[in-house]
Amino acid sequence: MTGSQEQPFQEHEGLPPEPAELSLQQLVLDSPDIKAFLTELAILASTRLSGPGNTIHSGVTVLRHKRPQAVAASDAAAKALDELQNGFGQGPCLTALQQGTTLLVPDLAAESRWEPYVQTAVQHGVSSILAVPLDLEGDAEAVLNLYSGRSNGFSGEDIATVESFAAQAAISLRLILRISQLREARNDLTAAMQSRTVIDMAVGAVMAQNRCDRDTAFSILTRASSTRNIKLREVAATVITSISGERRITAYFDE
Amino acid sequence: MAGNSALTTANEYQDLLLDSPGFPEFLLGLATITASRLRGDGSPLECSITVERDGAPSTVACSSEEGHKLDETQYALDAGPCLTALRGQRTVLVNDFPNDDRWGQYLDLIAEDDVHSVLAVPIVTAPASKAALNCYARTMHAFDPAVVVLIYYHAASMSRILRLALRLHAPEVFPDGLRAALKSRALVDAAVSLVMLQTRGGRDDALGLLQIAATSSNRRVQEIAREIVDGGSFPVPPMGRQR
Amino acid sequence: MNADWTGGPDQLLEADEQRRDVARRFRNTQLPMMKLWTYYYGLGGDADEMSFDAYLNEALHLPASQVGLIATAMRELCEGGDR
Repeated sequence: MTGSQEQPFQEHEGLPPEPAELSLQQLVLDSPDIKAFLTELAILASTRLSGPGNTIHSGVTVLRHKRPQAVAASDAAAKALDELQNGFGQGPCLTALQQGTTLLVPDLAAESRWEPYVQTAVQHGVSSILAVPLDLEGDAEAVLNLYSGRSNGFSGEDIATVESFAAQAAISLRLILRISQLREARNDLTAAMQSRTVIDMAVGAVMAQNRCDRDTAFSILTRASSTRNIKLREVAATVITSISGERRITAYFDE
Repeated sequence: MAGNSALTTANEYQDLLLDSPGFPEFLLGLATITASRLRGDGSPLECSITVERDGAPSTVACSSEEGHKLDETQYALDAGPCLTALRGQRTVLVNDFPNDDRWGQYLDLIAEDDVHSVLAVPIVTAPASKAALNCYARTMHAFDPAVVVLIYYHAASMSRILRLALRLHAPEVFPDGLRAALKSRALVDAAVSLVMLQTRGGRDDALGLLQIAATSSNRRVQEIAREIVDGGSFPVPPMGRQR
Repeated sequence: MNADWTGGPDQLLEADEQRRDVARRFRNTQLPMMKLWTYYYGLGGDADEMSFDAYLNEALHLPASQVGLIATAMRELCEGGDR
């Protein structure tokens, strides 16, 4: 071991830190299982509210990276209507989502807000819209959207029903999201415990290869980790896998 | 590299994961992004990423046709520098491919290709899977120490998103049978909602009513819930029951 | 769902006894814990898996409504094979 202060190869400029946390909630909301739940919710809402001459279409939109995405629907028409609104980037459902409160548009023909979207929706046969957000905590936001071909297509009872559906669904989803977080935390803990072993092994390997003491071996690894801005655990893993193979690679950490 | 590139990379990985319909598409995107990032000075360099999961066929994604052919050949032979890196989870560096004794058999099959340097680096993923980043270059000694560090860095930076992708696209993200339970839950939730509205009671009471109706008619809660949602009669609390 | 006991001492005794009973019944079903939890969730159960596990190992108490759902879940899951 040379123990030199020179860095034989170029310092790679601005090595980025650990990639940002991907929202587990968003991942979970994207899972096929959760989609099945949300689809069921949309179907139940639309079935419950539909009556003779008043078919209700229902969809669920979720915010992802602050952009709305249609994730579930009672039928193709609902999905198309959700995507229409998301494409415009504005509409009653998106407003309900942003504000976190129920929003009712009893008659689109008389509606002056969200003009470009409303005009197109009317052409597609939509006359009234009910939007009920799902309170999921944290950064996971979702809204249940209902479309009717009749003006004043939603009664007060309808609104209470959908709000009740949304409240119960939110409880169920929050539980699943919390559980996923717990599971992730447990995995992190396990991973942390495993990485301890990896580091110990790497220290041992460097000690043997360089015939140095434990402290010196450890400092070789930590120096490699900090100068290259790679996690110590990953440096250790690389050392272990390299030691059994290409000795030339290991040498890079010696210099 | 600009200081913001870290966040850009992370966001790019995340968007790729969220937007890819399946795991193979995600991996392809990852290989493509990596290849374009590594081609710093414009010299041709191809990348592939291989993932082997316990009890599942391996997935390979290549940034180009040539890379694809190289990987396929290794799989056909069940040997080669990238497979060695993947399965042994160790780095393999080859500076002069045509003249390297270790890969003779493989060499004969790809002799017409122009690969002269190969670097295969493991990507740390979950215990139940192995992954590697494979880079191919047309010149000898293409992977000098600076490039090796760069490639290590990229492999390390992909570890987390790859682990997330494997979990997301695992056969069961959730415990077995949760999908059926989620559908049942949605139905029960709806029934509970309606009972709550009717009785002006709370969730626990509504759930209790569903269970009583189920046991008293020797049926399952889910059937009762279905009946309620379909507009049937509400379960009536038994008379004189102590709460 | 990780609530400490908030009822009185008599109720605690009763709850302890009920829990012992439920735990014993669970052992007799020989159902995998997660399978039972999943079904319980499908019925409307609100306890997370860890609390659920702790309850069935008699290390924690759950509200009476949740205990009722656990009992219902066990009954419905075992109904299938009994006939």
